[in-house]
Amino acid sequence: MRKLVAMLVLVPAISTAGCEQQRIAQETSALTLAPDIAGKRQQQMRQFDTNDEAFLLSASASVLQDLGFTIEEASAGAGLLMASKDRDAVEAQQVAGQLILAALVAAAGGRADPVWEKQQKIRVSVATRRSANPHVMVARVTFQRVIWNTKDQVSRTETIEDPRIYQEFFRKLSQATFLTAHDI
Amino acid sequence: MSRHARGSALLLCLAITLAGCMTDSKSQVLAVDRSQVQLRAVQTRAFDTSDRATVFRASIATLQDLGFVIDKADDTLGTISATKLSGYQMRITVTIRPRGGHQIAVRASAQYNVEAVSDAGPYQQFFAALEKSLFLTANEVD
Repeated sequence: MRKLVAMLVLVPAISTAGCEQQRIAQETSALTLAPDIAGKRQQQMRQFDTNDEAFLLSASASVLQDLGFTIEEASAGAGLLMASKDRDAVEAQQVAGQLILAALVAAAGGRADPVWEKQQKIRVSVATRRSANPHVMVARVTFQRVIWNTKDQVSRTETIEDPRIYQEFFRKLSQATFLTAHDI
Repeated sequence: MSRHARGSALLLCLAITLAGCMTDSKSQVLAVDRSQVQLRAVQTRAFDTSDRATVFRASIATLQDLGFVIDKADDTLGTISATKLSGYQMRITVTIRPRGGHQIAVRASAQYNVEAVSDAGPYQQFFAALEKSLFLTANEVD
């Protein structure tokens, strides 16, 4: 009996301590610079030959509007735009996969409960800053998204890292400013 | 003790232990994990510069380096709020204030999913990244 009680106390205590360690490790890694930071910067940043920060920010705002984003925060003093949009996230392949799986489970006599990704919120921030050269401004953009499934649960949270998305954004910004976007 | 009585006793113990945990979730409103003084020390660093604007912009750049989307920033108040999504959600607020005539104090406070980040390690990493971006040493404050 005593052993049993001791185990009942000890086991949760050990597993809690383990969780705590793991959480601190994850928190630490969330605030640690990634080793490939140079590559990420190159993807997310471009230089523009202008010293007019407000012009670069308002051109960025119009690109975001073109892309269907709603501006949630704009601060000229801070050189910042933040915007978001809510969109469909249904992917035919995923739905087909889930339905086939459900059919197989049902055929085997089980109870199927197909779930797929339904909706997403895409978030973006554009930050501008002066470079070492006073006639050059740097714009940096970061995209991320949250995806909900058909049960309204968060199924994914991620930073968008597809280089084509960043290239396309800067191509549009370049058009809007009539300026060439130089790589860093 | 019969097996049945033993089982009931264990369940009772467990219920009592759980009851001791949190009786009112409203208590979270003003709850802190560490003492205020300890937390401030862990979350704050002072940089030897009087250029607040540079520290402000470098803080934004550092958060972007770390994969955050900047949600809000106010250069008058010197506050920045940002979110990182990567299988988890981390939210962070950074404030930048002058400290004396020759220093700028930067304080960061973060939450990881539904928990406050109060350990020193994560903040050390953040300030290490900010140091690199500013080319300045982050001094601990007391």
